[in-house]
Amino acid sequence: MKISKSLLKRGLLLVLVMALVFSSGIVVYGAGDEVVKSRMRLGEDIENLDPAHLVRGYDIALALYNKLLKYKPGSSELVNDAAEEFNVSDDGKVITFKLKEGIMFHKGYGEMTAEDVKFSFERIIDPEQNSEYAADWQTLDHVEITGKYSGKIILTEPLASLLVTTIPFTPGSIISKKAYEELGNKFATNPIGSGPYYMEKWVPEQELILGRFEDYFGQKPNIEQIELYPIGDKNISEMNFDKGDLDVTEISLDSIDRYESDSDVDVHILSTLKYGFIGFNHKYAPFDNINVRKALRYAIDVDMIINGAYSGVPKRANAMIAPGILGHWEDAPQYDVNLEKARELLEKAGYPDGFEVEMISTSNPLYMNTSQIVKENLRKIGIEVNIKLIETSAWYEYVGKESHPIMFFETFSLTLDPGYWVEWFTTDQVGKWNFLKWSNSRYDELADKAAVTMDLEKREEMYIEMQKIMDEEAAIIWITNGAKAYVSNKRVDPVFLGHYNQYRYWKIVE
Amino acid sequence: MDQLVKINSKNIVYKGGVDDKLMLKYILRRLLVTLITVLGATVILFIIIQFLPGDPATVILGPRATPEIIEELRAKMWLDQPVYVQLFRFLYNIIRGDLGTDVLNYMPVRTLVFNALPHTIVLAITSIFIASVIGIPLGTYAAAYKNSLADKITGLLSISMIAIPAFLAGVLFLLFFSVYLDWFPAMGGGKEGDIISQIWHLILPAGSLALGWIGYLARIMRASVLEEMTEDYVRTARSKGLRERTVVFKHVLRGALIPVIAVIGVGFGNLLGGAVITEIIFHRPGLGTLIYHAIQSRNYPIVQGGLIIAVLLYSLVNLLADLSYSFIDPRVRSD
Repeated sequence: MKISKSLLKRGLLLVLVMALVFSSGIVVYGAGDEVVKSRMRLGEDIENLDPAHLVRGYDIALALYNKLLKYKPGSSELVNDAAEEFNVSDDGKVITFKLKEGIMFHKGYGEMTAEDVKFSFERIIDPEQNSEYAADWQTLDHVEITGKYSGKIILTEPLASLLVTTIPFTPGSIISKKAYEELGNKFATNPIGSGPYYMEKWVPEQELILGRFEDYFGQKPNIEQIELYPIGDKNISEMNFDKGDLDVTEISLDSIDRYESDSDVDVHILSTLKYGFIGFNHKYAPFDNINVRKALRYAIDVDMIINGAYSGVPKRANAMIAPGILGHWEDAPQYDVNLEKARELLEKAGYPDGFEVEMISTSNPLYMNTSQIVKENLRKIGIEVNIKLIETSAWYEYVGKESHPIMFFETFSLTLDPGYWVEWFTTDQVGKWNFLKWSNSRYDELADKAAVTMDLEKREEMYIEMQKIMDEEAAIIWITNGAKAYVSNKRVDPVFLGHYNQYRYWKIVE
Repeated sequence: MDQLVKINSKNIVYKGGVDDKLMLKYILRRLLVTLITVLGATVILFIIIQFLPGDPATVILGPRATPEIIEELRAKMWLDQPVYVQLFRFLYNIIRGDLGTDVLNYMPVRTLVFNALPHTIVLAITSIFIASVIGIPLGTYAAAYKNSLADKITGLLSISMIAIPAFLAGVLFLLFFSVYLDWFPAMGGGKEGDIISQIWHLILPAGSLALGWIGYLARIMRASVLEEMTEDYVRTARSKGLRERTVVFKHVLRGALIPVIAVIGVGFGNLLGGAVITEIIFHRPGLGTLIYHAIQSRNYPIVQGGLIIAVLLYSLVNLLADLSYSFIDPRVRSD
């Protein structure tokens, strides 16, 4: 009723009438609001929540589905989820599991059995499904059912990423076989899992409501509903947060200072599963010359980019794999700006007067600011950078098909498994996602080998060696693994895994 | 002003008196023109979409896509077929009322579009309503008191309003009325099935979209009233001893409204364009938001389905605006 009062004071007759009408509406709106709910910004709307096909909305999938194993709250340590027992054979080729009894699927689809596990995993490698996750299960032969609740996952080869990003993540989601057979394509927007939340309602482009699953077998969260709003623009969602319409939202890195001074707000700074780098295509002169690449490495001011384009928030990366991910190269050399050395190297490469080159960027401020800083940096050693703006969706096509030397800044979203990080610079990916068009046979060999090495230490060594190769060849200029910032009010205590929201562990604090 | 001249010349054509047959013929002709316009626009849009850079498979699926998946997606969007086959299938399906299927989640595009459409129509109509209710009296008042201080202030205000783009007005309204004063909600279209909540959510977006139009309508109305005052019948009315207020509000207003209606008709289309940004700022559901996101993700069936409905809507509104002149202008009526 505060609204009507403030209007009354102003004595605007017309507005007053409206306020009276509408304030009654607000009472109605508030009256039904007895459930404990949390409102949250969702960066982009969901498209398909079938775990065989979802390429956006990983956070949601984490809340909807159970896997055999799951990540502990806010950590990358694995614990049993739907599995009561879970064992990997010594050769890494057979995984035996036993499900907990009494795990129920959402919306009355019955109890989870080994049949559902078999169906969920084998479906992903079924060529007819054409699943985006087929590679995650690439060595799966079949799942053998040994009892109502038990079975064996039989692999043709061990696969190191299986226990990092396959079984505990999206492609390891166990869905209801009965529901999928009944719903078919409609499963995409009517997902049936057994997680602590079920999809209560989805209005495209407007809201997604996750409702607490009352028959959830584990500890039920104390939030009854999580309302998610697909608000693309962070500035807009900051306004909504300030107004109190959202409990949690991602904010732009620029806004961290503003929120840190507010005692009613918790700021969460998360490292992202990404790498941001300056790339150039190695196929064309002058970038085919290692001395040119080395010169760029001494001329580009990475710290300036982090301060100017990333608001100084994330740490600088000197190699590819981020801290906390297997294969992080702690002692990677850092190349600070040294213009003299850069000029020497350019001269050695046969470009004493520099050269002119195109750098492409999207209109995303991060890309634009980075490109502009690079342009200024390189001008000092005589390299003239012409920035060309390209719409985001067209960017990939341009960078993949260009037939002249270009430079670019790019960020790439990754997963918790290092295999997925190194994959994009292999020769196989040239013409696809290896925009550098860089190719190194030793690197390729190590990438293949590391993917099937179950010994973590050996695997780590291989990933570090791969990064050393890239460093020696000055193949790329790493900037940072990036950062994301969230704010939450004191009502809600959010939990994150990497930069994913682990809604199942969120709590209302009262 | 172009619009004004055009409309007046149309009036002249029918000035001699319009019988019902002529009117029917006119309506049929306009319907035919509308149909051709829609068809033409659809074909042109379809072709333009073909030239959008960016491979949808790459944009939609990212690095997880295998060649087989890309192939499947392209087939789902008919991109593996020649453009004329795609166009033909598209037109054929539209005639059958089938706008296609969202390639990502198999939802019928028709459902998505028709769920979004009412929100946009309501937003546009409310904006026009607000703009008319404020702009038309403002313009009439300014004309009636031409060159007075009030007229000058109104003029200044109108120009200022025209100069503020809808997106800026949206953000300012949001900051001031919603975040700072906390009078209005900041996001969403309101609770489903709760009319009052929906109206409540509509005021700021409609207001910000209407702002420029208030100024615009006020200017046009002023010019139109002033022009109308030079007509002979006004002199006659005055010579009959009618009060100036009666002359302006009872007689002149009717004639002066015609160009305004024409502008509103065309403006409705522009409003649909402005609604895109407004919908995004206020996180409102609507056709604009739907098409915008679909273009970003290159979800062609939604882009095409959404655009054709937008074109249809635009043409229909123009048709209605054209037809409505005859009902408003006494000179167009048969007498």
